[in-house]
Amino acid sequence: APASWTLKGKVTDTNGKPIPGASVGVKNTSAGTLTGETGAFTLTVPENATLVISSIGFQTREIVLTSNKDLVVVLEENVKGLDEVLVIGYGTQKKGDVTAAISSVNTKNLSKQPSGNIGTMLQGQAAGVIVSAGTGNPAANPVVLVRGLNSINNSNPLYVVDGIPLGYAYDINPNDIESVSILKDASAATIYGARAAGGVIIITTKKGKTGEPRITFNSYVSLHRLNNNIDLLGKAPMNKVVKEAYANDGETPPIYVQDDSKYANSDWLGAFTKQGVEQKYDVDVAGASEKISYRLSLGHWEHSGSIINSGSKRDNVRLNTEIKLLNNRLKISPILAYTRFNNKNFGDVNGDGNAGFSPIMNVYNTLPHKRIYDAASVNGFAKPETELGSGNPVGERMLNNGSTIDDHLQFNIAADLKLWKGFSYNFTLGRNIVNTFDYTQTDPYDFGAQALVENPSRSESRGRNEFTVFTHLLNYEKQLGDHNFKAMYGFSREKSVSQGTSGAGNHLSSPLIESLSGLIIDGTGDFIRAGGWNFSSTLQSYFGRASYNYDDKYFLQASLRRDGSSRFGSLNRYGNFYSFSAGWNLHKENFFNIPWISELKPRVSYGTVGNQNVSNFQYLAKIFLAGSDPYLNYPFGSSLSQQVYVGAIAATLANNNIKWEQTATLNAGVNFGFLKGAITGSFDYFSSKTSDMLAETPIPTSSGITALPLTNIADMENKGWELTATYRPAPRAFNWDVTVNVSHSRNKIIRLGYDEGVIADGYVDFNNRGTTLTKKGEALASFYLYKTAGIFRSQAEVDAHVGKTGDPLQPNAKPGDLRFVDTNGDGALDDNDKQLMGNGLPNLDYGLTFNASYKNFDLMVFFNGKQGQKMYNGAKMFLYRFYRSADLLNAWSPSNPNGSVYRLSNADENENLRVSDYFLEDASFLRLRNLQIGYTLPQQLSSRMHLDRLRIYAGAYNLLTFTKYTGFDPDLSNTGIFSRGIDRGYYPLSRSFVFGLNVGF
Amino acid sequence: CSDKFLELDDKQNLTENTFWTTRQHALQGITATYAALQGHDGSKWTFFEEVYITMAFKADDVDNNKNEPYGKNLAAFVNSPDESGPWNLWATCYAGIGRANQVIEKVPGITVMTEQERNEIVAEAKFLRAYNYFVLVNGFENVPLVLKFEKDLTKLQVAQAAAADVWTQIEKDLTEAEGVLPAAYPDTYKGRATKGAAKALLGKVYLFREKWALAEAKFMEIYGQYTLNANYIDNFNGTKENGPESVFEVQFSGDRAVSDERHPFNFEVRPYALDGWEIYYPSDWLVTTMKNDKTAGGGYSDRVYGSIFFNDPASKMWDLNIPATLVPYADVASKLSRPAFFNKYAYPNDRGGAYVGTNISVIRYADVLLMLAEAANENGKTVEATGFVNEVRNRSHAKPIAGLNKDQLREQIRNHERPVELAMEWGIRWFDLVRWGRGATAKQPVKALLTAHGKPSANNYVEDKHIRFPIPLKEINVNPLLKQNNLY
Repeated sequence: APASWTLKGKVTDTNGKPIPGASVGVKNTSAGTLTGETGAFTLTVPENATLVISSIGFQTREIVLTSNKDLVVVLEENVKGLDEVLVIGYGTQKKGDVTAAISSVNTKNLSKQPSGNIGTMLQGQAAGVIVSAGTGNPAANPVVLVRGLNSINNSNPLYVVDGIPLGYAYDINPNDIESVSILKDASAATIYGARAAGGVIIITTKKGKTGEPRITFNSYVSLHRLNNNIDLLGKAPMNKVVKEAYANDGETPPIYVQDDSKYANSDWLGAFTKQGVEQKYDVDVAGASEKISYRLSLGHWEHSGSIINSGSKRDNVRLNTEIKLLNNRLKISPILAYTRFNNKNFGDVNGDGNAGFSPIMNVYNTLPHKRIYDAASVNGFAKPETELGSGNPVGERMLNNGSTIDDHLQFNIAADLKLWKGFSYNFTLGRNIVNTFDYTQTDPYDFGAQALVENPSRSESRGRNEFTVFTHLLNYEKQLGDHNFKAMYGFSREKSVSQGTSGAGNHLSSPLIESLSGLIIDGTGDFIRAGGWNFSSTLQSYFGRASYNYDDKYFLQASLRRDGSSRFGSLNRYGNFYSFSAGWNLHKENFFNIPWISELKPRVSYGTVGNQNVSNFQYLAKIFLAGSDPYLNYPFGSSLSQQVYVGAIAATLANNNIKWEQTATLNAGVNFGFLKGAITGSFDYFSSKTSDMLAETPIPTSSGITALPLTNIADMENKGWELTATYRPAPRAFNWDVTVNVSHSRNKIIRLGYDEGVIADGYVDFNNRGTTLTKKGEALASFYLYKTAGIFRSQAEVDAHVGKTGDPLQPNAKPGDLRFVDTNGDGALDDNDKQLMGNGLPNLDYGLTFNASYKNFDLMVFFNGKQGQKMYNGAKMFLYRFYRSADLLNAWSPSNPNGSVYRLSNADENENLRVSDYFLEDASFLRLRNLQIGYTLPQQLSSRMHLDRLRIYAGAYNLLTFTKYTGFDPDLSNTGIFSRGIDRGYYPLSRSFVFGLNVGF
Repeated sequence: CSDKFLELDDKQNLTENTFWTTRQHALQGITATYAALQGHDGSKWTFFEEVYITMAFKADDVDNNKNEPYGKNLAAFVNSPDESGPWNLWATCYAGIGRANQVIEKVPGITVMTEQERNEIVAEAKFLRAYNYFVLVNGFENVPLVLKFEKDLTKLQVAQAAAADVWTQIEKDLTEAEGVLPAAYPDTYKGRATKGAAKALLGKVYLFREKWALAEAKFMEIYGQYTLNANYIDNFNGTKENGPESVFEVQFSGDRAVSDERHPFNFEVRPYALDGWEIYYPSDWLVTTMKNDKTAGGGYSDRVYGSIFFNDPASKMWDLNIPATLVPYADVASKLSRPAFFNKYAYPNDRGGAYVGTNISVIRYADVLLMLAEAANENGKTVEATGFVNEVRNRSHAKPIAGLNKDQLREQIRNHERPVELAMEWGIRWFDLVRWGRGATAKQPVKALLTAHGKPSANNYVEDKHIRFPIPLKEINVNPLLKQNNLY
């Protein structure tokens, strides 16, 4: 064994400023350490060792040790970052070699986002990745779109976590994430073929690096308050408004509004909400020896929610290891991860079709006249006086307990074997098991006839989803002079099996029993029911990629994938996807001589990806058997409680011809670096066409079928651009950088099933009042509404509002009502006068991150925003209809002729509540999403505490929002594809204040 | 690699290839066809808050609660084609028709059951198909006539048929059904369509077509084969379901062992003060008309007390939460938002507080007698017709009528007997108004009638527009062959 000795040294930048946290390792061994706050390090090294010194933002250096003197290593700023390695589909690539549109997310900025959800953290972090909160419920997940909506079927990206392709990644602890790459164009994503139409987000988890075991502890606590910007009427003003509405119709108002001195004046919203507390604790131990590296991490996150009896908890354990065998020719990397979710059920109403309002709207809607609590009642909550109607939303929320408790188990093993002559082989086996458990238990209560639960009831469901994937990869790499070749061929099989059982009953023998065993049948109204599910799907794929570059100047790449899916019938089982791309390092040419341009790399790509996100067996004609579903069952017999017979019938139509949906994308982009790399970035333009989109297709109900079949209904195109740029001036004492990303995308339907076919959706009022229309030549889910032209200020104005024949257009209108425009001028006001009025997707989506440090302080400011998105304020419409909005105090009346709200009327004969641009608002916003100030203890101090590093920080999240939108939040949008931008009143977002610390031992 | 890996079986569903092979399948198929009577999606909310309201709110016997969104625009005659109610009615009828078409096509091929059993099930399907077309042609007038279960997705768009063709098909289906259907079913299957039900519906079809002689003859075929319940209210409180007066009912059940077939109608008619939701109110005109329905002693008849809850010492409504307790009007009078409420269907279940399994009557014998009287009167048999009316009056102890001439009796039947006896019952009053508004015999324009009867918003009524529901926008959107009804 070579004699070893102790090397002391220091790492600095070119200005002599120490670089703390730089990694110093001995090449080809696991020996290594990190520099301290003064840039100093001590390392035991063998004779003739080669040191590898690296740090983020600096070029990695290798130094052959020739003497045993103390060493000062100067690292040059990494002006290009082109040697950085990017994770791509089934492999890695040097950043400088990339010819596709791939965003890599700065995980350092991610780590400063106080959130437990990787989706939320991605907002504003990468150009072309649009994240909407959807709801403020901490148990819910945001909607992540890569390059906008590119299919009417399913636009969710594919997540690939450590090589396992999944539809989600919310089980991952963000603290375990090493890198995030986003594959945006077809040339990058084709390799995932069938599922890549919505883009691919590749997440790689952290592994042990070098040296002795090191422990890191990170934690934050944040306090949340709802962003409540809706003014509600209290009891007396509400009484006044209701009385006026009825008086205008000449009708008697309800009894309860007639006497202000009667009844309570409750603050339902106050009782329904609370201060939320979010906490996150992460600890990990990582290290490496010569033959094995490891990282074990534990994480706990919980968020109590800002609404009573809501919230979410997550626990993570992960062990990533890497074992080297056969002289490092064989590398085996097992990964074991476990996640436990515990989410309280809340039930926001989101998505397309017939939907009601969120439970939160029940609270806004509740009469202030009702009492909330009643010490004399069994459960402490008040039963409303009968004339006030049923319901106590606070009591119902508290007495209805349900949670979803899921266990995610990931087991992943990869083996890399170096063969000979540039060949290598990789085998990956991934298994993802999700065991789900969901229960609801309701205590009996009596809040009036409509809110009466006679007996305690309970339902449970348990399921198991097993996903298995194995992949074989054969890689080849060859360098011949200036010619560089790389090739990969792969084969994979995936199988997913989902099975489950459910049980429910409406009569537990005692509320103290929390088990289905306590269910009893004690009368004809009682039931105990069982249910279940069992379905599987498989995917079999062949794929390959070849890349070539000459002298690091000219790059070519081609990929191919052939996917076979069990979701399609034998006719159309396989889909083929391909792509080509090319790039040119113009700045490396001898003739290129512009000193201030350090990088200029144009690139272009074209390719196809697919979408197989359809449910199973759509090609079979199924008979629906009702089971416990009342849908097809029917009673016969002679008593009041007749026997119910089970019905069965074809309730869906088969479609033998459904085939793969394909998206073809052209991408042209350029990577640039200016001023010695002080400015770096990229610009991409893309144009894609999605053909044969698969979606549930509305059919005439005269067919007898109301369940919608899937057909290859439509084609659409998407065009847009993305810009990312970073400015990082040469480091000084005050060190800062700023990154901006902006993206734009627009979609247009170019074919929709039948000639004049349209899809109407965006219902704001149960089945009624569709607000969006999807049709040929227009953007997906465009708002389709009546146009208003203000409020009639006088009878003369009403009389003057006539059609071409001189007949009144709004015969039921009175002064104070809304004036609707006969846009087609046909003399009648009807459905044909509705107009398309934009949509719920932003024109521009942008993020701006500013990082700075001075001495031991660091600062991060992160803004994000969306420009040019519209929102239909259905929540406002709801609050107007139920006389709860404080806006109504400014309703038009003879004594308030300039009122901004239309005349109060309960009968609403003018249909002021019809869908119109009166409720359509600009939902553009700019939000100060994250503000964080950190302080790192000087090393002398932390050493005294036996710590390597201690950083404390404080910050605010969602501190400021600039918007004209008058609803809850401009970013709380419906997630349905055809209902995007419809505000039905969701669990609001919260504003929070954060305190945290990072400790290294 | 082999493609076997990609070939999976559906472990959750039968397919067309494995269904329609056993007797049980035939029964499950016809059960599903009946189930569409409760709403296309099986939801009782769809039936009572969309479909029932759509049928009821335009008539002169019902007022809506203007504080509730349900059917508000329909009731005010300001509805546009995107209103959900008519769509739900349309979808409900066509769900029944599509299922009936499947039964009619597939059941004859099931060889493992007797021919008679097969024929009877097919006849039930024809009855149900005819019933659904009856609702469609009266409600929308211009509807596609679909008689085959089409599986080809490219052939689902069907143009509207002439209303006369739809009527012809209804008569054909009912004529075929009445010949085959059994006169009665064993206790466990009561509620299925009988020969009498087919005859009653066929008679009603003739009545709507003003084929007075055929109508009278058809009703006479079942005259005397049913009896009126001794107590008027037993038609609505669940105690005489599928009983002696019942001709055809939509079935609901309180037994939840298999699935939930209960409904909330009792809540919907009850006042807030008695735990209701006040969705349906009796109109002022109906209350006034009811108060003219007197016994020989000068009191109100049984059917007045059974139909409305109003300011009278003898008017009582069941307490919802305390079974078998009746609440006198005076006890809650001060808390009521309106002077009168429906008492009909306002009965509690056998257990307090829960939704109910009470059946909803579609045709009952009293209706048959009144339709018989109407046909006989038009045929010139005014005295006999008066007798049929008095059969119905007698049961409620209303003083018999006498000495009316043909026109007087017609008016008596139209604007007293039918609304008083059948107030707000499923699908009756509005379709009566439609047929009298359209008919050749003593035409009674709807707007004039609504105005005379004080219907709120009657002034918004446009004669050739609101007599039909609009073809639902949702349906036109996916079937460009459809033409919107006049003036919508």
